[in-house]
Amino acid sequence: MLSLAVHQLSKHYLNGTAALTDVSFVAQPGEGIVLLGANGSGKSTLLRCIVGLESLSSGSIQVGNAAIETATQSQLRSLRRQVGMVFQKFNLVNSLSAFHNVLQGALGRSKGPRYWFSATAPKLERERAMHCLERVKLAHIAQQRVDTLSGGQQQRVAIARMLMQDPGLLLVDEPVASLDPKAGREVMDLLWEIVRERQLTVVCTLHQLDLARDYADRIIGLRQGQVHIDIPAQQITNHQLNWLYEASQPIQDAQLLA
Amino acid sequence: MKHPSQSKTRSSSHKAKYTSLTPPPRWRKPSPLVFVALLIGIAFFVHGLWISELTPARLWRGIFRLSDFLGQALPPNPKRLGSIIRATLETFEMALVGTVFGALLSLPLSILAAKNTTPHPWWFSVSRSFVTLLRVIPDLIWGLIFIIVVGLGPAAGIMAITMDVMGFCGKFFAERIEEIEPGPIEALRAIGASEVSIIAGAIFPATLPSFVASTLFSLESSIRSAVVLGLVGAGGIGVELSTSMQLLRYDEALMVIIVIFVVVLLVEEVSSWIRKMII
Repeated sequence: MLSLAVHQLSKHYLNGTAALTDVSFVAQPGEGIVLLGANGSGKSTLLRCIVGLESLSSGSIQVGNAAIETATQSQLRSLRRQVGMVFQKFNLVNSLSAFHNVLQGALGRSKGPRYWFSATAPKLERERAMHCLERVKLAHIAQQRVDTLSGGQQQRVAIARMLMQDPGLLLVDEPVASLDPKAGREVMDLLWEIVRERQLTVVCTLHQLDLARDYADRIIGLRQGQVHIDIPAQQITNHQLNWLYEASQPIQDAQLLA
Repeated sequence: MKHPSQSKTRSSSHKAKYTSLTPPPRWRKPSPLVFVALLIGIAFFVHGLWISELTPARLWRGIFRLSDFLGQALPPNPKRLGSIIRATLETFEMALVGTVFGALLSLPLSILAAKNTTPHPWWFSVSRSFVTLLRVIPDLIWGLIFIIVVGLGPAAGIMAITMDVMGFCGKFFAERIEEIEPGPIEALRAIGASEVSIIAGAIFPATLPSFVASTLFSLESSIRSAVVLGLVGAGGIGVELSTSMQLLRYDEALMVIIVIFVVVLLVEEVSSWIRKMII
């Protein structure tokens, strides 16, 4: 488990769009934070900044003891090893088996061509990958290509890949947005079980308000790139939640609905 | 409530306007640039027809010469069939070795020449221009160059085919890499994988079927160019064919042509079968 400190973070794109403005928050080790906000409120950009996939315009991000904004390419890579990511669209390599995708979770800590192919990977890592698949209850389909699996199964493979990576901080980007409600619940249950048993610090974006309330320790609400809500999950009111979405709706849309 | 009435007035006014409009003209006068380009094209065509002296009388005489040739060529002479088949196999092997070398060398080349994987824009433009250079020089000229470099024989043919395949595969591989989905790459990058691991773990698995298909296409075309490369002395069956033709042994030449035909057909069949299996 790692701490995460975001301080006065701003991100502007070259075309002048301000994706994030002056965002600050601190996540304690082991804390579960859910990020809420409408489409385009900057949630995904924030996650991508934390893992260094986007450069910062200003401000700082501290993961554990390392600062993202000053890290060199190789420092950034060793930092990413400790930050797991789970995506809305799973982002698995479709033409490979579930097992091989999970094995790729080791690519961060291990260099060398042995790790590129599932046939040549060391025995220890192959066994670990199998254990990770077993943890998400998918050991029986280890050899199947991931593009033949259902959405819920693919997301579980992605979670197993994250387990294989063994991170201290976990960033989750709308993990259940592409899934039906039942599969979504199952994935969230599984994900949170793992988060708790490994005591991972987690920042998770969601669109489902009920899920946010059920799983989060703390809820941070973003609107147009700014933090508007930052309170413990049990204190949040429906009114506050709805306001995040309604108030930021563009005016033309509101007219069309009327 | 405002919307329906508004849209109604708009559509009716639209209709009224539409009936008063005249349709666009059927022909447009070409712009001066197009007109000049057309004139130049026609001039080249007419001049080309004129210098070829492709007259009906010549074609008529040609038919008799063709029957003359066929009379001497038929039946094909299988006396040297053993050495013909051996030379044809050499042609096939030249094509195979050259294609494998070319495809393997195209892998790193295409990484440099794809916008999303190139380490630096500078590398991108240098490698793209290199690939274009490989392609604009015809294989026969590569063959002549390598005959000077390594002497007569299959080595020159293999090198010429390698260049040709790199020009083709380098371009196609790079374009395939540019089409790849960014998601899995981003996932591996977030894991902390090195760029080389990302290429081996996410890019090549996604692009491999299409790489194999392009390589098989270039194997097919390599076989044909390997035959022609033999005509200038770069090894293989082409040498046999040109000797037979020059010594006016048309029956032997026909045997060579038949063997080439069978081999090219076989390779195309096998490669299209492999392509169907992998896609």
